[in-house]
Amino acid sequence: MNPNKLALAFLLMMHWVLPCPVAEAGVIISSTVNQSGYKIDFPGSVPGNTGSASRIGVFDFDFATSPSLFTFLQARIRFWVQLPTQAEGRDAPWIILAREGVTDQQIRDVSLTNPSSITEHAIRTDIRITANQADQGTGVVEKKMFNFEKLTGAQGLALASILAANASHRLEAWLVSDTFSNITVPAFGETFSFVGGSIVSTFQPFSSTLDLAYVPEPSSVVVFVLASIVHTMRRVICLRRRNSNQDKSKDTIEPCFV
Amino acid sequence: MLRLKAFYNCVLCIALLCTLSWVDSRADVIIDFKQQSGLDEDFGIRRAVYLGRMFNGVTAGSFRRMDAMHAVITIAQATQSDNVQLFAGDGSSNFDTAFAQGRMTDTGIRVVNRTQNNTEVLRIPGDPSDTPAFKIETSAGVAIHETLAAKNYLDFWVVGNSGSGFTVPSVVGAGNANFLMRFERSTAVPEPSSILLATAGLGLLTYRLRGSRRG
Repeated sequence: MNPNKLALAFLLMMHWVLPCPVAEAGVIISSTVNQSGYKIDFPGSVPGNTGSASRIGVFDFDFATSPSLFTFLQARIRFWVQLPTQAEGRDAPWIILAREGVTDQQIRDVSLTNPSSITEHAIRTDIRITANQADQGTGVVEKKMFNFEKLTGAQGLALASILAANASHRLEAWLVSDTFSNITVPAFGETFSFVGGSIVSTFQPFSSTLDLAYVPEPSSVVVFVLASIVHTMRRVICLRRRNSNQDKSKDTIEPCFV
Repeated sequence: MLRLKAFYNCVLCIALLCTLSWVDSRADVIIDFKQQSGLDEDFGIRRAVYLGRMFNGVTAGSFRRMDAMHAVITIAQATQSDNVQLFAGDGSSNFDTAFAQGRMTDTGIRVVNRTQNNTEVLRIPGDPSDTPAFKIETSAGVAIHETLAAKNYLDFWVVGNSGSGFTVPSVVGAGNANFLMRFERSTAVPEPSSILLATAGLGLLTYRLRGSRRG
């Protein structure tokens, strides 16, 4: 095989290897924490509207190596929230992922900018949480994303940077609305019943889970690509050897694996 | 002899009034407990959340008013600046219209969460088992009771500033979000002691007048 063919084969190999199904799905890492309950209000971008940002929690990810080497592809979240019934469509609040200890002002800055905006402190994702009429009622209900939401390349890189900057790989998730302030992401929920003339309270702590999907770390990709090259080279050598032995009988020709 | 007869008549009259006023004006307590509705309205004037309808079929009785009350509400993020008020009256939707038509009465209760990061059960002014009830102003107490007398139910709303961020759930996780209202009712004006004093005074005056004419 001449060098041009070898280069072509290598390119084809890379084309197949890089977007391989494993990389598409990514490795999933999860973190479950107690909800924070912290909330700030701010004037919305539309005059007269009051927006709000509720911190869902501070998530703690146990990465074996630095997340700066990863590309984050997708994210999904599960948490407990009370949303107004009008929180649908373009009025649905969205998820912001931010570095641990982000200030209220920094959250406001991201909240009031265009969709999919990124600052050094936070990323406004495309994950929107809508009030579902099928829920049990107006109240604190569990919102669970069954499917991952894709992150853009820039969002994925920014997320890696934020995670890598924190020694404990911590990340804050916020629920932000430019339109509503009557949103509650509580840490605890209290209910009561009236039994025998007295009030009996019940407390329920609320937790949230953030899942992130990222591609295998570069070392694995490099090993895989190198293995592919070795595989190609072996096949090339095999084919050359077979071509040189064409005068021999077919039975003696060594089969080349595909 | 006539003086004695007049005195006896007066005593009899007082005794009869005492009995009747006691029967008609004795204080009682009505209490109800229900799941919150959570229906939310904000038409730019104020934010109103409907709690629900209570005391269905409760008869009012005459010469009474709501004297004091306890309220137990499940709510989150009600702050001082939100100015969340508890209203009672007639109207299960469109609070602004009901308020403009005078069908809603401010109980005087203000709702503020103890902590801002939890959905809490607030007992106002405290637990009914060990805290004296919140005193309702006379005019509000009469108005609330008149609504109960006319409709045989009361609708309850929590109302705050427009755009305020408090939330009133109907469910909290696995449990229902409930509210409880407890009213202490007593006689409307005039109260029994005034009737007794006025009657006794009138009887004494009559007795003396008759005595002076004959004397």
